[in-house]
Amino acid sequence: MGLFLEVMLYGVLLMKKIKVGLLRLNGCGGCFSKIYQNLNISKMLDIFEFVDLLKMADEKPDYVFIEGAINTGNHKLIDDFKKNGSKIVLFGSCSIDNFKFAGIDEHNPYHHFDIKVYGCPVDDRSIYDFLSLINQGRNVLDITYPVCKECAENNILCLLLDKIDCNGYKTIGNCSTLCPKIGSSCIGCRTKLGENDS
Amino acid sequence: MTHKNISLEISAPKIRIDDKSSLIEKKLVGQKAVFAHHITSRIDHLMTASHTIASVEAIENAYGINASANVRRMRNLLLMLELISSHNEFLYTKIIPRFFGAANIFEFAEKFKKEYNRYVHISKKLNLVLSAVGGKYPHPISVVVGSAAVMPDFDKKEQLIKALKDVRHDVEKTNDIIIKNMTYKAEFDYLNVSLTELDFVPLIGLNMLCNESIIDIKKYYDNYDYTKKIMTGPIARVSNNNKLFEGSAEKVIKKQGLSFPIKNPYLNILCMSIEMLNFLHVGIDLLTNFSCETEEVLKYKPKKSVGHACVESPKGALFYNYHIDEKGIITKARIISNIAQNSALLEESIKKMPIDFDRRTRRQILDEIEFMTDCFYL
Repeated sequence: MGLFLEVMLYGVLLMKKIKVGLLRLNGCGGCFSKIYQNLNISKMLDIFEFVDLLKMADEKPDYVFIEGAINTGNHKLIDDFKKNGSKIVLFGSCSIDNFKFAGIDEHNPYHHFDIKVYGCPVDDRSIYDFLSLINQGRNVLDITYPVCKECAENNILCLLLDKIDCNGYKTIGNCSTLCPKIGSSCIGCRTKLGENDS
Repeated sequence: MTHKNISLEISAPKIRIDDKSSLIEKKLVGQKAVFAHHITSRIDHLMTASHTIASVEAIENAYGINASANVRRMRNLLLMLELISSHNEFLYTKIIPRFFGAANIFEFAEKFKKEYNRYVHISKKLNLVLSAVGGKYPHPISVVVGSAAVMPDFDKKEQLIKALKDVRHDVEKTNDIIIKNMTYKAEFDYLNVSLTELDFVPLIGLNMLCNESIIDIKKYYDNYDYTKKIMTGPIARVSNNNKLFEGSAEKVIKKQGLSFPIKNPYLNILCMSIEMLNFLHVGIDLLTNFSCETEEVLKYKPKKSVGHACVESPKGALFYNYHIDEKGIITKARIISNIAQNSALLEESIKKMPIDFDRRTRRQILDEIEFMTDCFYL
């Protein structure tokens, strides 16, 4: 949180708000809901200006957060934002791989993104980490380890050893192992390791 | 005009409403039935527990499994908590900013910090309890076929009860705001449809109350007529069960002098805040008397079967019907949400809105239509 506060103060000193456009496509709405619930952290609204791109399509934001599955028909819209200088952020699992954890292969990935933020939904901690990252201009949220790493760190007995199907070994980690912690196998909702890199 | 799950094309006098969430039915075919709720819980973040429970109950119905009374209490508790949380989310992100003259939740958060913080306080406390009861929220994992994967930690029970009691004042203040601003009048002829029981407001059930007739849900939805003007959701639950509401909710219903059945769709918003009061009261009671003992996992074998279930989601009655093969794979799925059920009435309501085309700008007209659509909880 200390780094986050530094970033906040830096943003305040700049006195120019970072404009974030929220583009909601074919998702449940859970990821953006987490943003709505965190607008009062530190000086969030002093640093960021949020706009709803479904209502204000002519905006030219610094960042476009995309929530929900992307189909081929959406690519042009996203390309237009990119041409106008917006950085494209795939916000949450649906925009990254479109229900692939369920074996549904209707994957029309958008490859020209700048940043991925994992989660189903994106949790509060990921939002804090991400906002500090964009101020540093880093491109990719650096998570390259599976859920297994956190299970091991938290002494959670591996479900595979009990012959319980678990996808944790091939799923992006940093989720606090919410499911294995209570004996529920990982379904892979945070997307597969190693896929869809830009 | 695009509005969340629906897109509206308006060219007088025709209106088309597309329910994108019904595409999920096709995605379920070929999936393992016991896995299906992981997909359906991701249809709508305001109904994740509702979809999860409806999916699991439909499979239990197909396999002839009877979950224990305590498991059913846990599911009811989860539905009540989700109802309060989702109504809170919807009111504060869609409706209340408008009452304060804010264009959206961001402007509302900036200019009306006290009211915005009330929304956040209710959200965070409800999330805490929902996560404890659901294992995880949204997309709860405690609900599994025949059992509960996890029960709330007994040692934390007092903390959870306190969390619910902590939001009582904020929920009452929310209700005050709604009452002060609900001056919209309209009158339509429609049927209020909801689950029904004799002595409590049901959130899971098999009996549907429709126009004073009680019909089995399977029979009701098998003969469902999408052109009929019906309303399902808060307004229907309050209309049909008004004598069963408790505590502050009961007092508000009396004080507002509501007449039943409610014929004004705008009052769906007032009914949301009344339900928040009611289910907070009932939820605290249920949690206080709740047993946190671990449940036995019932053994079952997949079999070729057909099952159905109905739950009262925050937005309205939610019906699930699955056809399952001998290997436990879904061969056919049917999900009927509030969008499908309320769309005929929504279309009529929009068409009959008294819009002054001469004095209103295009933006103002779309705003009025959007508000009417919001009242239908889409």
